[in-house]
Amino acid sequence: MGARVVLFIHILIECNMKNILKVLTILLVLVTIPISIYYGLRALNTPYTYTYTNNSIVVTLPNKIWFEFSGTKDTLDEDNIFETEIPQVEKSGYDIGLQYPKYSIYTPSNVANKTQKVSRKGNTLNISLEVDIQKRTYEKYVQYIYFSQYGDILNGIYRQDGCNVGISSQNGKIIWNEENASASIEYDAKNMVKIKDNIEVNISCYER
Amino acid sequence: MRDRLIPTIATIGAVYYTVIFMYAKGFESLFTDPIFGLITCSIVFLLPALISKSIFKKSYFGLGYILSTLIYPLIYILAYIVNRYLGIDAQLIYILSALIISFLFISLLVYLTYSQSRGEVIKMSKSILVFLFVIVLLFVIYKILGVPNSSITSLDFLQHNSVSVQMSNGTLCITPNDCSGLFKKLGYTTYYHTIQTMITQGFGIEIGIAEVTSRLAFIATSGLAVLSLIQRNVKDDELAFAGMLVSLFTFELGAYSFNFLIPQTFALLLFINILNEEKLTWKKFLVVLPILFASHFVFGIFFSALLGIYLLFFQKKSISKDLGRTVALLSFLAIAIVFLANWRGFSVEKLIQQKDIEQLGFFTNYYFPDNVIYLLKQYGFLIVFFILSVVNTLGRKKIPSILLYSVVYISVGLVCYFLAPTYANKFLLGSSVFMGILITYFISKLRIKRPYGFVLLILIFLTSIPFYFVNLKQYDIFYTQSSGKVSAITQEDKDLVNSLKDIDLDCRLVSDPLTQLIVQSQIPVDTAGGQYQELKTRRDFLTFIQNPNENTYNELINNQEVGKNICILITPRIYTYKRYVSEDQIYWLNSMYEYEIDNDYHYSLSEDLVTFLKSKGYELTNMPSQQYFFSK
Repeated sequence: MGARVVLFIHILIECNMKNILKVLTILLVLVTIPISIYYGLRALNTPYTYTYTNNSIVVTLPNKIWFEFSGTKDTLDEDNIFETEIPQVEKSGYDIGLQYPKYSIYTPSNVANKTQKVSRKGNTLNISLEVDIQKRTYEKYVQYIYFSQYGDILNGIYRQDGCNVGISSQNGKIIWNEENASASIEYDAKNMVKIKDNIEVNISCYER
Repeated sequence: MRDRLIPTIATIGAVYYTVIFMYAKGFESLFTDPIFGLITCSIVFLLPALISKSIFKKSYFGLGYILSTLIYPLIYILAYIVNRYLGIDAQLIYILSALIISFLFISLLVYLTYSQSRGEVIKMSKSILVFLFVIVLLFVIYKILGVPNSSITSLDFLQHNSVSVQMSNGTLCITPNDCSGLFKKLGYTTYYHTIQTMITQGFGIEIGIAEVTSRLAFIATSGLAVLSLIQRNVKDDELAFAGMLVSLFTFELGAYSFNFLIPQTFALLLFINILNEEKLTWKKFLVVLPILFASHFVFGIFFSALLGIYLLFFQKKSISKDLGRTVALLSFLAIAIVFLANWRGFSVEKLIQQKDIEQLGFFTNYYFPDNVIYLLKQYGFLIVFFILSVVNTLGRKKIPSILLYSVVYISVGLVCYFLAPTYANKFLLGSSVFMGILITYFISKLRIKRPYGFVLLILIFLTSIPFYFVNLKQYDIFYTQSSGKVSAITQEDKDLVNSLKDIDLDCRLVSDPLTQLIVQSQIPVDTAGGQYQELKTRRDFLTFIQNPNENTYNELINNQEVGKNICILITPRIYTYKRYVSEDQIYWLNSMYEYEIDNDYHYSLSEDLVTFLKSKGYELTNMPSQQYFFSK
């Protein structure tokens, strides 16, 4: 009798285990499918990468051309204000599917403090900029963008080797320099203690 | 008769297509037709299976398949002997051999269709459908990703074809290093190359078409071998089919298990065939060991060791509580130990391969946590189902030996991966096969009512497809031209090769590294280092192009890789240096593994260069698409 009970319990446990595993597996499949699909959506976006290195926001295109928003060449009038400063960088967010990492960069100096927030949505890189000017009043604030290769610049879009990079600024004036493969964004700093801007970088490659 | 319909249609279809195509578009067009390429590559990979079944009276996949692949080295030996001693063109022998093996394939297919039992023919019909299904699925994926029918997305294929070109030229090539200067290390014999030679030289398939179609046919053939392996332990055909899909559609960077046709993946196919052998014995293993070793020295040893483990501990039908389970458990635990060591910074490449690292200028492996993220990105959620199936497997009382062995195989691969010798990710070769086996068995043992078990496994397969897509797309970036076309060979390269074929190239060709590889892979000519041209040579060459004078010229020709008897090929790729703001940024100049893919940069050939080279006795021949050929 006792042996039969033990056997019955054993069978019951096994059946329950099997059912538990079945349910667990089905649940796992149901959970992983949408996550996988979301992960795969990244294939729809232009596969450029961006990072913060050597005090600059560096964007690398799939054709290996890169460009940087230099963090050490910013000027207030003729003063190079962040040349030797060490920024505080924080990386956050997920890097999966349509979500990309975010960077928050704070660069203090005696003259001005700069805060940049970098994020990506689709094929557009957003850089929000805030510059708090501490000391005397300046006329002009300029930040610089440098490309690794010369390209054709037309209507504010840099084109080279199958990729297009369009840069737009909400409050700044973009001046392209095709000869030096660079661009600058100028801001009027007269009587200002704070400069704010939203820069959008639209990147597309290999449009078929 | 209905049962024999599918193989009959397949046979008639292939023959009919070839004949109609030749009639409609001409004989020459055949070799640039992707369907014909697919037919011929399928013949090359499936013929050994037919020979194994019909002549050796063994199963399609197993030792019979492996021994049947010997026809290709035998054809090479025949071509070499006939060329050497009778003076007959080796290329002609290859063409005749291609015709003979085509005829043999059709004959054996017809024979097997009409001589086998109904059950066997139904199995064969299902295999044909599976084969075609895999090809169509891959074809659709490639189309979505923009990979054209004629495309090179594996420079290795070009590199190996340089050997094929020499072999069909009658050169003796026991190892690739014997007849091609493109191989820096000795990694295998030319066993694999005898197969590629049949495709590109025997059947004469255009190289871009050959790369794509041989890959499709190879993956589909491997799929059949994997399916056969799974079916031994999972009697449900639909589940086995879904399990095969799970195994095939994983993009393993570095290992490339079912992604490209290269010697290591061919060695994997042989390994899977050995496991397919019913009643594998040490004697049988020793018979095929030389072929395994000949295909790839490193993986020949790796697979031999794994087969030794299989024969010692797992060559039984069902294992309950004994040594096999202990070995599986220990190997699984070994992953944890090695992982901890890796986490603390240990790796073989840092410890004893410093020289290699210094030469390359970078570490070849990821380190924690990137190495873990790499695995997650590569296998996706298959890892979750794999872990679930391992726990379930190890907890069972009676386990088919292949399942415990699957745990061992994957564990050994991961141990090697975390030990991190150079390019350790290649030791993950074949891991997806055994993951597929474990997951399929696990699902089969859940005893889910038909067809829901199949649906569940297909859904698991579908969870891995996005990862496959993303990884393959990421891989293809390297080969993407500015037009969006994915191929290392451009139209300018094809025009160049066609023009160079008419020239007697009795010199060492000097050009940019990628052009050198493309030319040497299709024309029997030596180049200055091929795609692995030394960085110094690249700099010397560019310096000479930019500033042609006695000093820069002597610096170039005194370079050991170049020499004095040279011909120089100027291409738009070289002149792309003008696009760069700084020469330090020119990636093909500063890295051994980087190349300029596009070959259509507009430039003007320097008059000084032309004048100088003419003063040195060079004659200029204009090539298509802004390419200039200087020879003496």
